[in-house]
Amino acid sequence: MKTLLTLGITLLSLSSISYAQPITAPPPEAKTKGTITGQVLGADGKPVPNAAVAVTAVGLRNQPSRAVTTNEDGAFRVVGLKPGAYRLRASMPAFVTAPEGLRNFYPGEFATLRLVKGGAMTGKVTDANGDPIPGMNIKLIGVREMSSTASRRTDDRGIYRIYGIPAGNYVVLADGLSFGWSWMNSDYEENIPTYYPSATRDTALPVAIQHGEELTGIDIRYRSERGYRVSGKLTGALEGQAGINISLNYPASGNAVASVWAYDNKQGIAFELRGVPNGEYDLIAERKRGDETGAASAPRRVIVAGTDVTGVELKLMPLSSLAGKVMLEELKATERPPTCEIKRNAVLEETIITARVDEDTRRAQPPTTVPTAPGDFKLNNLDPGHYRLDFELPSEDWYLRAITLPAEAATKKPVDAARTGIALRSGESAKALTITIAKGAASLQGKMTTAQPARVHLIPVEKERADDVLRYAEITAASDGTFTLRHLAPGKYWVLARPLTEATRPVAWDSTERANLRHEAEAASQMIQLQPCQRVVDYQLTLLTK
Amino acid sequence: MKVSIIAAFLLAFVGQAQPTNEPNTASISGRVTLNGKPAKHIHVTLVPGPYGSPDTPGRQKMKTDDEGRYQFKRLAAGRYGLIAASYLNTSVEFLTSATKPFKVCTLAADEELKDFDLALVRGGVLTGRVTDTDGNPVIATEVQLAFVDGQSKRQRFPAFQTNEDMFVTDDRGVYRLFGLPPGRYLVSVGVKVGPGEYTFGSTRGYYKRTYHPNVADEAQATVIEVKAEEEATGIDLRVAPMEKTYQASGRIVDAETNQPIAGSMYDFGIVEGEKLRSVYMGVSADEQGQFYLRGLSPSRYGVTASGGLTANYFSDPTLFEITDKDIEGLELKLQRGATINGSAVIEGTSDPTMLAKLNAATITAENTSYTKIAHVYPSRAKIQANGRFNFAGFRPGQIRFDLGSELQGFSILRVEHNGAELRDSLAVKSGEQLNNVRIVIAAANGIVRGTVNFVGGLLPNESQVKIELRRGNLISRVTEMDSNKRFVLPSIADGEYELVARLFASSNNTVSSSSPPQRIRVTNGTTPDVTLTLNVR
Repeated sequence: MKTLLTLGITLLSLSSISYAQPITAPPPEAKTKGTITGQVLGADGKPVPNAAVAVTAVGLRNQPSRAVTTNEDGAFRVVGLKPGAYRLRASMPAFVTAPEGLRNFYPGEFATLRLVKGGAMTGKVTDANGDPIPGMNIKLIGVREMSSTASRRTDDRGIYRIYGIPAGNYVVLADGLSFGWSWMNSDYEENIPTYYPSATRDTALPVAIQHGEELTGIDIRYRSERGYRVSGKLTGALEGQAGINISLNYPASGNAVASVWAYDNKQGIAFELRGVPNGEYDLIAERKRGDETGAASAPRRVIVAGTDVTGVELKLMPLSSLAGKVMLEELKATERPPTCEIKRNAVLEETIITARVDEDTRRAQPPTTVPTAPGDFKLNNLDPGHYRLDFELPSEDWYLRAITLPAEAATKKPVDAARTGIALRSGESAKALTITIAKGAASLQGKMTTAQPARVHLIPVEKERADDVLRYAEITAASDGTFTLRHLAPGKYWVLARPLTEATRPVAWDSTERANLRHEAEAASQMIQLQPCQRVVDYQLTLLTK
Repeated sequence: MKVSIIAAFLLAFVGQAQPTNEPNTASISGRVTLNGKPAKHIHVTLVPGPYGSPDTPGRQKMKTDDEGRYQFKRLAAGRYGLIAASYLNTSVEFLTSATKPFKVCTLAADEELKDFDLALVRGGVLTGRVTDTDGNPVIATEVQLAFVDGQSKRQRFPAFQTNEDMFVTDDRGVYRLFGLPPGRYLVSVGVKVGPGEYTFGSTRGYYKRTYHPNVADEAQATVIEVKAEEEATGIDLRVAPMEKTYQASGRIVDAETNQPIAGSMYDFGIVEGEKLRSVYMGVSADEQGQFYLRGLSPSRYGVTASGGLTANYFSDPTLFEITDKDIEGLELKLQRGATINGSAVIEGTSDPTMLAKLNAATITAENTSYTKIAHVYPSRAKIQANGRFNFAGFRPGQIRFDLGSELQGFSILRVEHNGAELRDSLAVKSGEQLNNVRIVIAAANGIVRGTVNFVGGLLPNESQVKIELRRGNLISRVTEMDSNKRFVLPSIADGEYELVARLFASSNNTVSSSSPPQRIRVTNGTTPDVTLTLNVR
């Protein structure tokens, strides 16, 4: 228990240093291995004492989150962290962490987190006669991320008050399901939710709230519309330690309209979901937890149209996995320009690997892992599908060079999995994936000559690179026309700006699209040569209008 | 830690009364009143078990008729809880009942229970604001409610049955408690410091217990009278600055190798009297076996380790006391547990539908030696298709078997080890592998019913009365007394037994008095009604 001993002592020593002002530079001891130091500031820029700071490892399984509090100078220090990426969240009742603090931090870094007062919202829920409804569960759902951020029940006067709300646009709903663990009798538990002001989900009026703002009169006239039941039974791979979650999801967002747990994994276990509005949904049963090999059913399309849906059978099939090794290639000393400055020595364990189903952009939390120090990684409990791997690289000096699978017998050449993606069938495990990360990455920061909604693309010039998907890069330009592309392999690129489309999938994943892109880029003919380690700034880019 | 509390409920209660294939012929009926008048068209919910969750199979709901009457028909034999309270209306008996929020009854097959009435009143409201010494609102802090009972004793108001949101202050420091049973209340915030009192999880610190208006001593607290339908306002509280909380941390290792074991877990508890009471259970340690317990207020705590859900390990509890500093280096040594392997057989039938009932049913095993040290739930094992069952991870001690709720209508006739009938519960030694345990089950449709008479005073509020059915040295069945002071023990095989009623004081779950044992004989499934007399003093 050395770590905690150190914590006690460092808190003492930190408080003996006087920080009358916000700390701008990391104190030298922040360089200590396995330590993240930082400071929590208020909206006024002054240090906040006794704020809670939670530190959670990204992708590291079985790593409990850590918690510290700030001292009188708003300073905090977490020691004994394994190499990896961490998310930090400062909290005080009614306050939220400002969005710029919600990024990955690495041991050795200094984190400045700002606490801002969240918004507060209040209103009254009444029935058709104008009488207040007590015990109604009010939920706020972020319009963009479509996930619930807060909930609170109405009191005996039908009044609710929700506070500590991050700035954003929300839909507000009153849910009468006696969801969870209430034994209270309610007239509404078979009902569908009513959205503010007295709407269904499709006609809900979003509410915008700012930090520190207090919104009153967000009253809901409850519609008291009865929902339907969706029921059936589970079969297949039911046995396991983990419970089975059955959820009914909106196909577009993947968010659940209703969900229920089945704990006793008996053969042919029955399930029932209540209060479902008319609509089209995907019904899925999943048994996933930690390292146990889980199981899931294929999504079953369910249409609820004015009546209960019964007799749905969901068959659970074993899930798949992906495993392999990450290699880090050093840059030859002769190739590294003397001006190349590396801010921090990143390590492999700080690389975040995410497996995304290619066709499926809706999953809010795709499976994530980090490699071990020698570079081994494994992603368990993947649904069958066609996967692409996403990487968050911990150093600006790194770029992704190759993702390969072992050679197939016919060709004797390794499979370029960055180009093809990885197809996983139910219960299948793809092993021996090799991921090569190289040092000496370049970056390109620039601005469009006329600011307009655009997507900026980099396309490799050399013909033999035409199918090297990892050599393609793209990003949406900010509203002022600026853009930054990082983790770029040194080489020659065309730079192309295209009008913004609704596509959510990188253009380079599709061979026809790649060809179109190259064709356009060739015509536009804006070229740039990036040297190892080069940091191009103030690049000027013209948007071609057709 | 709401999640683990829920988990505890599930472990304890889910599936206590499963539908059986027997014809369901029992019924319950009665009347619901609100403020003394018939409560028409309000919901009455019936939960088997009782104490089930809203998802409990067999939960039923109906609305009362114009005269406030309800009736649930076609019920299987078993224990049921009834509730008619809502967010606004509360049960008149709420504060005095030991089975709150339910009114509980036990039905035998064919039983027609009538006049099981439920009395409601419109609840009262208690509201105020919590501030610190600078006048700033105290946000997201839980308000505690205690009530003064008929014997002028102060009792904790149980919050589980109601809207837990209302106990938490908002960003203005305001709280509003509603639907309260009429009574005399004490309102406080913060944490008591002393044996059995604790808080955990808040690294920012805690407030010391403060009673309305601003006193630390419970004896000086202002008692607030809450009347039905009325509102008590301005019940403000002022708290002193936050006190510091502490951390405890340690490591779970294999007692033999001193190395961490993958998948090891720990349970965290509070020392209450002589026992360890679980606060949360089944939390994973990290890969090095490290665990951290954060935000602890000064008190005596305990941690116990297990090898995970399936591994055959256990540890002795490690107790520690938080006073004014962090504690580190706690060590939990995992020892190899004892295993019990055996088979379950049904005697006296070759009917395949009867025999099939064993398949996938469960047997429970409780280490009665360990339950003297800690409150734990019995282990469960499924009976496989060939009748075999396997238990692992036992501490040395005395093991008592029981049947899972799927085996209603059955009873354990005897337990054998290596062909010999056990005279007492099964003893397991450290790390022992006990094979050839045979649990002989028989269809048993006998019913033992009775009433408990209380002498020597009033039954203390919130106390529990349990009735034990014993055969020789073995406890063959335990049940709780119903709300109407009756008890029913179904699924009893013919034979001679002893019945004992025991009074458990709610605060520490220890027996405070027992009735003289009563001998009974069950013949052809019946026995005359039994009256047990329990001296409360």
